[in-house]
Amino acid sequence: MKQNFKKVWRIPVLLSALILFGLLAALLGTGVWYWLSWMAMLIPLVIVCFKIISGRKIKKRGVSC
Amino acid sequence: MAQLKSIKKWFWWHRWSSLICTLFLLMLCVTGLPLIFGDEIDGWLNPTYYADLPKNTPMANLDGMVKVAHTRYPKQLVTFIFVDDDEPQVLVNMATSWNPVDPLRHSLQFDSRTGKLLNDEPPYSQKPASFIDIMLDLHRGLFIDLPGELFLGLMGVLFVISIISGVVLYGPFMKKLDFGIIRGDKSRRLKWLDLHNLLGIATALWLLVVGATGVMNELSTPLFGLWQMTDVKAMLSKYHGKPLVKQDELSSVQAAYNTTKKTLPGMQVMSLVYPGNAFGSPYHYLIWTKGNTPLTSQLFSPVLVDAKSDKLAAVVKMPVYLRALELSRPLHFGNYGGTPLKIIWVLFDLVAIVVLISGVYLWVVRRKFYKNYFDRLTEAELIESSPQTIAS
Repeated sequence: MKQNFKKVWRIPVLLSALILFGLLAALLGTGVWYWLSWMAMLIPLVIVCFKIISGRKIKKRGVSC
Repeated sequence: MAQLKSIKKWFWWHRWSSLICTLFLLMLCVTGLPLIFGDEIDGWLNPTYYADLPKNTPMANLDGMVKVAHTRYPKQLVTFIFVDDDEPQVLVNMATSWNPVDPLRHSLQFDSRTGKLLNDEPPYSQKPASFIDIMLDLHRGLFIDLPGELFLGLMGVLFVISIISGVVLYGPFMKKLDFGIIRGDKSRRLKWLDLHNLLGIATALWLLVVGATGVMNELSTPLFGLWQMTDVKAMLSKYHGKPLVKQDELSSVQAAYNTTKKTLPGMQVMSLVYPGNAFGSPYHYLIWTKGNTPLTSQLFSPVLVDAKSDKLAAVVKMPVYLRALELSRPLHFGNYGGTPLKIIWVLFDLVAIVVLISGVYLWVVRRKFYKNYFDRLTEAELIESSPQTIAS
Protein backbone atom coordinates (compact mmCIF):
# COMPACT_ATOMS: atom_id res chain seq x y z
CA MET A 1 0.00 0.00 0.00
CA LYS A 2 2.76 2.40 1.01
CA GLN A 3 4.71 1.63 -2.12
CA ASN A 4 1.63 2.26 -4.24
CA PHE A 5 1.15 5.63 -2.56
CA LYS A 6 4.72 6.53 -3.37
CA LYS A 7 4.33 5.41 -6.95
CA VAL A 8 1.16 7.44 -7.49
CA TRP A 9 2.35 10.64 -5.81
CA ARG A 10 6.08 10.79 -6.58
CA ILE A 11 5.82 12.70 -9.87
CA PRO A 12 2.85 14.96 -8.95
CA VAL A 13 4.68 16.05 -5.78
CA LEU A 14 7.87 16.67 -7.74
CA LEU A 15 6.04 18.76 -10.37
CA SER A 16 4.24 20.77 -7.68
CA ALA A 17 7.55 21.39 -5.93
CA LEU A 18 9.02 22.67 -9.21
CA ILE A 19 6.08 25.03 -9.75
CA LEU A 20 6.29 26.29 -6.17
CA PHE A 21 10.01 26.88 -6.57
CA GLY A 22 9.41 28.67 -9.89
CA LEU A 23 6.72 30.92 -8.47
CA LEU A 24 8.88 31.94 -5.51
CA ALA A 25 12.25 32.18 -7.29
CA ALA A 26 11.09 34.99 -9.59
CA LEU A 27 9.30 36.71 -6.70
CA LEU A 28 12.27 36.70 -4.32
CA GLY A 29 15.21 36.90 -6.69
CA THR A 30 16.32 38.34 -9.97
CA GLY A 31 18.88 37.56 -12.68
CA VAL A 32 19.78 33.89 -12.47
CA TRP A 33 16.72 33.21 -10.29
CA TYR A 34 14.51 34.33 -13.19
CA TRP A 35 16.13 31.69 -15.39
CA LEU A 36 15.75 29.02 -12.72
CA SER A 37 12.11 30.02 -12.29
CA TRP A 38 11.35 29.75 -16.03
CA MET A 39 13.11 26.39 -16.30
CA ALA A 40 11.37 24.98 -13.22
CA MET A 41 7.93 26.03 -14.42
CA LEU A 42 8.47 24.78 -17.96
CA ILE A 43 9.34 21.24 -16.82
CA PRO A 44 5.74 20.25 -15.88
CA LEU A 45 4.50 21.61 -19.23
CA VAL A 46 7.18 19.75 -21.17
CA ILE A 47 6.42 16.50 -19.31
CA VAL A 48 2.70 16.90 -20.08
CA CYS A 49 3.46 17.41 -23.79
CA PHE A 50 5.79 14.42 -23.77
CA LYS A 51 3.15 12.20 -22.15
CA ILE A 52 0.46 13.28 -24.61
CA ILE A 53 2.73 12.64 -27.61
CA SER A 54 3.89 9.25 -26.33
CA GLY A 55 0.26 8.31 -25.60
CA ARG A 56 -0.56 8.96 -29.24
CA LYS A 57 2.35 6.87 -30.44
CA ILE A 58 1.13 3.93 -28.41
CA LYS A 59 -2.29 4.29 -29.96
CA LYS A 60 -0.86 4.36 -33.46
CA ARG A 61 1.21 1.24 -32.88
CA GLY A 62 -1.82 -0.46 -31.46
CA VAL A 63 -0.04 -1.42 -28.26
CA SER A 64 -2.48 -1.68 -25.39
CA CYS A 65 -1.37 -0.60 -21.94
CA MET B 1 -16.06 0.16 2.01
CA ALA B 2 -15.40 3.23 4.13
CA GLN B 3 -12.84 4.34 1.58
CA LEU B 4 -15.33 3.95 -1.25
CA LYS B 5 -17.84 6.06 0.66
CA SER B 6 -15.28 8.80 1.18
CA ILE B 7 -14.29 8.72 -2.51
CA LYS B 8 -17.94 9.12 -3.45
CA LYS B 9 -18.20 12.09 -1.10
CA TRP B 10 -15.13 13.80 -2.58
CA PHE B 11 -16.45 13.00 -6.00
CA TRP B 12 -19.72 14.78 -5.20
CA TRP B 13 -17.77 17.85 -4.09
CA HIS B 14 -15.55 17.75 -7.14
CA ARG B 15 -18.45 17.43 -9.55
CA TRP B 16 -20.68 20.13 -8.13
CA SER B 17 -18.07 22.70 -7.13
CA SER B 18 -16.55 22.56 -10.61
CA LEU B 19 -19.84 22.40 -12.51
CA ILE B 20 -21.17 25.54 -10.84
CA CYS B 21 -18.04 27.58 -11.48
CA THR B 22 -16.92 26.18 -14.86
CA LEU B 23 -18.71 28.66 -17.10
CA PHE B 24 -17.35 31.63 -15.15
CA LEU B 25 -13.90 30.09 -14.89
CA LEU B 26 -13.84 29.61 -18.65
CA MET B 27 -14.70 33.28 -19.07
CA LEU B 28 -11.94 34.18 -16.56
CA CYS B 29 -9.37 32.03 -18.37
CA VAL B 30 -10.26 33.50 -21.77
CA THR B 31 -10.36 37.16 -20.64
CA GLY B 32 -7.25 36.54 -18.53
CA LEU B 33 -5.21 35.59 -21.60
CA PRO B 34 -4.99 39.11 -23.12
CA LEU B 35 -4.69 40.62 -19.62
CA ILE B 36 -1.39 38.78 -19.06
CA PHE B 37 0.05 40.99 -21.80
CA GLY B 38 -2.29 43.90 -21.01
CA ASP B 39 0.41 46.58 -20.72
CA GLU B 40 2.06 45.48 -23.96
CA ILE B 41 -1.26 45.35 -25.86
CA ASP B 42 -2.27 48.79 -24.54
CA GLY B 43 1.14 50.11 -25.60
CA TRP B 44 0.67 48.77 -29.14
CA LEU B 45 -2.88 50.05 -29.48
CA ASN B 46 -2.20 53.50 -27.99
CA PRO B 47 1.49 54.19 -28.40
CA THR B 48 3.05 57.20 -26.66
CA TYR B 49 6.19 58.64 -28.17
CA TYR B 50 8.66 59.86 -25.58
CA ALA B 51 11.60 62.14 -26.19
CA ASP B 52 14.86 60.21 -26.53
CA LEU B 53 16.75 61.17 -23.37
CA PRO B 54 19.53 59.46 -21.39
CA LYS B 55 18.29 56.82 -18.97
CA ASN B 56 19.30 58.64 -15.81
CA THR B 57 17.65 61.96 -16.66
CA PRO B 58 16.19 63.23 -13.37
CA MET B 59 12.49 63.82 -12.87
CA ALA B 60 11.12 67.26 -13.71
CA ASN B 61 9.46 69.37 -11.00
CA LEU B 62 5.97 68.15 -10.12
CA ASP B 63 4.87 71.67 -9.13
CA GLY B 64 5.45 72.79 -12.71
CA MET B 65 3.17 70.03 -14.03
CA VAL B 66 0.48 70.86 -11.47
CA LYS B 67 0.72 74.52 -12.50
CA VAL B 68 0.13 73.63 -16.15
CA ALA B 69 -2.87 71.51 -15.12
CA HIS B 70 -4.33 74.32 -12.97
CA THR B 71 -3.79 76.90 -15.71
CA ARG B 72 -5.74 74.73 -18.14
CA TYR B 73 -8.50 73.92 -15.67
CA PRO B 74 -8.53 76.71 -13.05
CA LYS B 75 -11.81 75.63 -11.47
CA GLN B 76 -10.92 71.96 -11.08
CA LEU B 77 -9.26 69.99 -8.27
CA VAL B 78 -6.10 67.95 -8.53
CA THR B 79 -7.10 64.59 -7.00
CA PHE B 80 -3.88 62.60 -7.27
CA ILE B 81 -0.63 62.33 -9.20
CA PHE B 82 0.60 59.03 -10.58
CA VAL B 83 4.33 58.56 -11.15
CA ASP B 84 4.93 55.64 -13.53
CA ASP B 85 7.89 53.37 -12.84
CA ASP B 86 7.67 51.65 -16.21
CA GLU B 87 7.44 54.52 -18.65
CA PRO B 88 8.74 58.09 -18.24
CA GLN B 89 5.33 59.58 -17.57
CA VAL B 90 3.49 61.42 -14.80
CA LEU B 91 -0.30 61.58 -14.79
CA VAL B 92 -1.90 64.55 -13.04
CA ASN B 93 -5.50 63.59 -12.31
CA MET B 94 -8.23 66.22 -11.99
CA ALA B 95 -11.95 66.31 -11.25
CA THR B 96 -14.72 68.85 -10.73
CA SER B 97 -15.54 67.50 -7.25
CA TRP B 98 -14.24 65.04 -4.64
CA ASN B 99 -16.76 62.43 -5.81
CA PRO B 100 -14.52 59.42 -6.51
CA VAL B 101 -16.62 58.49 -9.57
CA ASP B 102 -17.01 62.03 -10.92
CA PRO B 103 -17.82 61.49 -14.63
CA LEU B 104 -15.71 64.53 -15.55
CA ARG B 105 -12.53 63.22 -13.91
CA HIS B 106 -9.64 63.17 -16.34
CA SER B 107 -5.88 63.03 -16.48
CA LEU B 108 -3.09 65.04 -18.05
CA GLN B 109 -0.09 63.07 -19.20
CA PHE B 110 3.34 64.67 -18.77
CA ASP B 111 6.80 63.55 -19.76
CA SER B 112 8.35 62.91 -16.35
CA ARG B 113 11.80 64.16 -17.44
CA THR B 114 10.94 67.31 -19.37
CA GLY B 115 7.71 68.15 -17.54
CA LYS B 116 6.09 68.79 -20.91
CA LEU B 117 2.40 68.09 -21.39
CA LEU B 118 2.08 65.12 -23.76
CA ASN B 119 -1.62 64.46 -23.75
CA ASP B 120 -4.68 66.15 -22.28
CA GLU B 121 -7.04 63.19 -22.08
CA PRO B 122 -10.83 63.57 -22.39
CA PRO B 123 -13.02 63.05 -19.29
CA TYR B 124 -13.44 59.49 -18.09
CA SER B 125 -17.11 59.32 -19.17
CA GLN B 126 -16.29 60.43 -22.73
CA LYS B 127 -13.21 58.29 -23.18
CA PRO B 128 -13.84 55.17 -25.26
CA ALA B 129 -12.92 52.08 -23.23
CA SER B 130 -9.87 50.29 -24.59
CA PHE B 131 -9.92 46.57 -25.40
CA ILE B 132 -7.89 45.84 -22.26
CA ASP B 133 -10.24 47.99 -20.11
CA ILE B 134 -13.21 45.92 -21.33
CA MET B 135 -11.41 42.63 -20.67
CA LEU B 136 -10.38 43.81 -17.20
CA ASP B 137 -13.89 45.01 -16.32
CA LEU B 138 -15.34 41.65 -17.34
CA HIS B 139 -12.55 39.64 -15.72
CA ARG B 140 -12.67 41.51 -12.42
CA GLY B 141 -16.36 42.14 -11.91
CA LEU B 142 -18.59 41.15 -14.87
CA PHE B 143 -19.03 44.90 -15.66
CA ILE B 144 -20.95 45.45 -12.40
CA ASP B 145 -18.07 46.31 -10.04
CA LEU B 146 -18.37 45.24 -6.41
CA PRO B 147 -21.32 42.77 -6.68
CA GLY B 148 -19.59 41.17 -9.66
CA GLU B 149 -16.27 41.07 -7.82
CA LEU B 150 -17.81 39.32 -4.82
CA PHE B 151 -19.68 36.88 -7.06
CA LEU B 152 -16.54 35.98 -9.01
CA GLY B 153 -14.71 35.68 -5.68
CA LEU B 154 -17.28 33.07 -4.66
CA MET B 155 -16.78 31.26 -7.96
CA GLY B 156 -13.06 31.32 -7.19
CA VAL B 157 -13.71 29.65 -3.82
CA LEU B 158 -15.64 26.89 -5.64
CA PHE B 159 -12.74 26.56 -8.07
CA VAL B 160 -10.30 26.11 -5.18
CA ILE B 161 -12.61 23.45 -3.68
CA SER B 162 -12.75 21.66 -7.02
CA ILE B 163 -8.94 21.65 -7.31
CA ILE B 164 -8.50 20.26 -3.78
CA SER B 165 -11.17 17.58 -4.28
CA GLY B 166 -9.67 16.77 -7.68
CA VAL B 167 -6.26 16.22 -6.10
CA VAL B 168 -7.82 13.98 -3.42
CA LEU B 169 -9.54 11.90 -6.13
CA TYR B 170 -6.36 11.58 -8.15
CA GLY B 171 -4.93 9.02 -5.69
CA PRO B 172 -7.61 6.32 -5.99
CA PHE B 173 -8.00 6.97 -9.72
CA MET B 174 -4.34 6.32 -10.39
CA LYS B 175 -3.92 3.37 -8.02
CA LYS B 176 -3.32 0.90 -10.81
CA LEU B 177 -2.05 3.31 -13.45
CA ASP B 178 1.29 4.84 -14.29
CA PHE B 179 1.73 8.60 -14.18
CA GLY B 180 0.61 10.37 -17.32
CA ILE B 181 -0.78 7.32 -19.08
CA ILE B 182 -3.35 8.15 -21.75
CA ARG B 183 -5.44 5.18 -22.73
CA GLY B 184 -6.31 6.45 -26.18
CA ASP B 185 -6.89 3.00 -27.59
CA LYS B 186 -9.80 2.03 -25.36
CA SER B 187 -12.46 4.72 -25.48
CA ARG B 188 -12.81 8.42 -25.99
CA ARG B 189 -14.07 8.86 -22.44
CA LEU B 190 -11.02 7.14 -20.96
CA LYS B 191 -8.76 9.25 -23.12
CA TRP B 192 -10.35 12.49 -21.90
CA LEU B 193 -10.41 11.28 -18.33
CA ASP B 194 -6.70 10.48 -18.48
CA LEU B 195 -5.97 13.82 -20.10
CA HIS B 196 -8.07 15.65 -17.48
CA ASN B 197 -6.16 13.87 -14.72
CA LEU B 198 -2.73 14.42 -16.25
CA LEU B 199 -3.21 18.11 -17.03
CA GLY B 200 -4.99 18.75 -13.74
CA ILE B 201 -2.43 17.12 -11.48
CA ALA B 202 0.60 18.49 -13.36
CA THR B 203 -0.65 22.08 -13.06
CA ALA B 204 -2.55 21.68 -9.75
CA LEU B 205 -0.29 23.96 -7.76
CA TRP B 206 -0.39 26.75 -10.34
CA LEU B 207 -4.19 26.46 -10.57
CA LEU B 208 -4.44 26.56 -6.78
CA VAL B 209 -2.17 29.60 -6.41
CA VAL B 210 -3.77 31.59 -9.24
CA GLY B 211 -7.26 30.59 -8.03
CA ALA B 212 -6.64 31.51 -4.40
CA THR B 213 -4.86 34.78 -5.22
CA GLY B 214 -7.72 35.61 -7.61
CA VAL B 215 -10.18 35.25 -4.72
CA MET B 216 -7.96 37.49 -2.61
CA ASN B 217 -7.85 40.15 -5.34
CA GLU B 218 -11.65 40.12 -5.62
CA LEU B 219 -11.73 41.05 -1.93
CA SER B 220 -9.55 44.13 -2.39
CA THR B 221 -12.41 46.65 -2.23
CA PRO B 222 -13.80 45.37 1.10
CA LEU B 223 -10.30 44.89 2.54
CA PHE B 224 -9.21 48.45 1.71
CA GLY B 225 -12.56 49.67 3.05
CA LEU B 226 -11.94 47.81 6.28
CA TRP B 227 -8.47 49.36 6.58
CA GLN B 228 -9.83 52.87 6.00
CA MET B 229 -12.56 52.36 8.58
CA THR B 230 -10.19 51.03 11.25
CA ASP B 231 -6.46 51.86 11.02
CA VAL B 232 -6.70 54.97 8.84
CA LYS B 233 -9.57 56.37 10.88
CA ALA B 234 -7.66 55.78 14.13
CA MET B 235 -4.55 57.40 12.70
CA LEU B 236 -6.42 60.51 11.58
CA SER B 237 -8.48 60.81 14.78
CA LYS B 238 -6.02 63.25 16.38
CA TYR B 239 -6.71 65.70 13.56
CA HIS B 240 -10.45 65.41 14.04
CA GLY B 241 -12.28 68.73 13.77
CA LYS B 242 -9.56 70.44 11.77
CA PRO B 243 -10.80 71.88 8.49
CA LEU B 244 -9.92 70.28 5.16
CA VAL B 245 -6.81 71.76 3.57
CA LYS B 246 -8.03 73.53 0.44
CA GLN B 247 -6.15 73.43 -2.85
CA ASP B 248 -5.07 77.09 -2.63
CA GLU B 249 -3.60 76.50 0.85
CA LEU B 250 -1.51 73.51 -0.19
CA SER B 251 2.23 73.51 0.15
CA SER B 252 4.44 72.29 -2.70
CA VAL B 253 3.73 68.73 -3.82
CA GLN B 254 7.34 68.46 -5.02
CA ALA B 255 8.49 69.27 -1.47
CA ALA B 256 6.19 66.51 -0.15
CA TYR B 257 7.78 64.18 -2.70
CA ASN B 258 11.25 65.22 -1.54
CA THR B 259 10.34 64.74 2.15
CA THR B 260 9.25 61.19 1.33
CA LYS B 261 12.41 60.42 -0.63
CA LYS B 262 14.53 61.78 2.23
CA THR B 263 12.68 59.74 4.87
CA LEU B 264 12.65 56.52 2.86
CA PRO B 265 15.71 56.71 0.59
CA GLY B 266 15.34 53.17 -0.76
CA MET B 267 11.72 53.62 -1.75
CA GLN B 268 10.14 54.69 -4.98
CA VAL B 269 7.17 57.09 -5.03
CA MET B 270 4.22 55.66 -6.99
CA SER B 271 1.49 58.18 -6.37
CA LEU B 272 0.63 61.29 -4.36
CA VAL B 273 -2.97 61.49 -3.20
CA TYR B 274 -4.22 65.01 -2.51
CA PRO B 275 -6.00 66.05 0.72
CA GLY B 276 -9.74 65.76 0.23
CA ASN B 277 -9.56 62.61 -1.88
CA ALA B 278 -11.86 59.88 -0.49
CA PHE B 279 -8.86 57.53 -0.52
CA GLY B 280 -6.57 59.85 1.39
CA SER B 281 -6.42 62.16 4.41
CA PRO B 282 -8.10 65.59 4.63
CA TYR B 283 -4.91 67.13 6.06
CA HIS B 284 -2.05 65.34 4.35
CA TYR B 285 -0.61 64.26 1.09
CA LEU B 286 -0.90 60.46 1.17
CA ILE B 287 2.11 59.19 -0.71
CA TRP B 288 2.29 55.55 -1.83
CA THR B 289 5.81 54.17 -2.04
CA LYS B 290 7.29 50.80 -2.89
CA GLY B 291 10.66 49.14 -2.41
CA ASN B 292 13.43 48.50 -4.91
CA THR B 293 14.10 44.78 -4.41
CA PRO B 294 12.06 42.11 -6.24
CA LEU B 295 9.96 41.32 -3.16
CA THR B 296 9.64 44.80 -1.64
CA SER B 297 8.69 46.29 -5.02
CA GLN B 298 5.43 44.38 -4.53
CA LEU B 299 4.90 45.78 -1.03
CA PHE B 300 3.53 49.30 -0.75
CA SER B 301 4.02 51.65 2.18
CA PRO B 302 1.93 54.79 2.50
CA VAL B 303 3.48 57.94 3.96
CA LEU B 304 1.58 60.92 5.32
CA VAL B 305 3.11 64.34 4.72
CA ASP B 306 1.50 67.44 6.24
CA ALA B 307 -0.17 69.28 3.36
CA LYS B 308 0.59 72.73 4.80
CA SER B 309 4.09 72.38 6.25
CA ASP B 310 5.44 69.53 4.08
CA LYS B 311 6.72 67.85 7.26
CA LEU B 312 6.57 64.09 7.61
CA ALA B 313 3.55 63.07 9.71
CA ALA B 314 3.76 59.27 9.62
CA VAL B 315 5.02 56.21 7.80
CA VAL B 316 1.93 54.02 7.87
CA LYS B 317 2.25 50.35 8.80
CA MET B 318 0.16 48.07 6.63
CA PRO B 319 -1.90 45.32 8.27
CA VAL B 320 -1.20 41.66 7.46
CA TYR B 321 -4.32 41.25 5.33
CA LEU B 322 -3.27 44.07 3.01
CA ARG B 323 0.25 42.66 2.78
CA ALA B 324 -1.31 39.33 1.73
CA LEU B 325 -3.43 41.19 -0.82
CA GLU B 326 -0.35 42.92 -2.23
CA LEU B 327 1.47 39.61 -2.64
CA SER B 328 -1.62 38.13 -4.28
CA ARG B 329 -1.36 40.57 -7.16
CA PRO B 330 1.90 39.43 -8.80
CA LEU B 331 1.14 35.77 -8.08
CA HIS B 332 -2.18 36.16 -9.90
CA PHE B 333 -1.02 38.37 -12.77
CA GLY B 334 2.32 36.61 -13.47
CA ASN B 335 3.88 39.99 -14.22
CA TYR B 336 6.89 39.73 -11.92
CA GLY B 337 9.36 37.58 -13.82
CA GLY B 338 9.88 39.09 -17.25
CA THR B 339 8.27 38.15 -20.56
CA PRO B 340 9.10 34.41 -20.32
CA LEU B 341 7.09 34.15 -17.11
CA LYS B 342 4.14 35.82 -18.87
CA ILE B 343 4.40 33.26 -21.67
CA ILE B 344 4.48 30.47 -19.07
CA TRP B 345 1.34 32.04 -17.56
CA VAL B 346 -0.35 31.89 -20.98
CA LEU B 347 0.60 28.21 -21.37
CA PHE B 348 -0.73 27.29 -17.92
CA ASP B 349 -3.90 29.26 -18.66
CA LEU B 350 -4.40 27.26 -21.88
CA VAL B 351 -3.93 24.02 -19.93
CA ALA B 352 -6.54 25.26 -17.44
CA ILE B 353 -9.01 25.79 -20.30
CA VAL B 354 -8.50 22.18 -21.47
CA VAL B 355 -8.96 20.90 -17.89
CA LEU B 356 -12.24 22.84 -17.60
CA ILE B 357 -13.62 21.72 -20.97
CA SER B 358 -12.60 18.09 -20.46
CA GLY B 359 -14.24 18.22 -17.03
CA VAL B 360 -17.53 19.32 -18.57
CA TYR B 361 -17.24 16.62 -21.24
CA LEU B 362 -16.68 13.96 -18.57
CA TRP B 363 -19.77 15.14 -16.74
CA VAL B 364 -21.87 15.00 -19.92
CA VAL B 365 -20.91 11.38 -20.59
CA ARG B 366 -20.97 10.54 -16.91
CA ARG B 367 -23.62 8.06 -15.89
CA LYS B 368 -22.73 4.71 -17.29
CA PHE B 369 -19.07 5.45 -17.10
CA TYR B 370 -18.94 6.25 -13.38
CA LYS B 371 -21.20 3.37 -12.48
CA ASN B 372 -18.62 1.12 -14.12
CA TYR B 373 -15.83 2.94 -12.35
CA PHE B 374 -17.36 2.51 -8.89
CA ASP B 375 -18.15 -1.14 -9.63
CA ARG B 376 -14.52 -1.68 -10.53
CA LEU B 377 -13.36 0.10 -7.36
CA THR B 378 -15.65 -2.06 -5.21
CA GLU B 379 -14.31 -5.15 -6.89
CA ALA B 380 -10.73 -4.03 -6.42
CA GLU B 381 -11.33 -3.37 -2.74
CA LEU B 382 -12.86 -6.81 -2.25
CA ILE B 383 -9.86 -8.43 -3.88
CA GLU B 384 -7.45 -6.36 -1.83
CA SER B 385 -9.13 -7.16 1.45
CA SER B 386 -9.46 -10.90 0.78
CA PRO B 387 -5.81 -11.90 1.48
CA GLN B 388 -6.07 -10.22 4.88
CA THR B 389 -9.15 -12.30 5.63
CA ILE B 390 -7.20 -15.43 4.82
CA ALA B 391 -4.24 -14.35 6.95
CA SER B 392 -6.40 -13.70 9.96
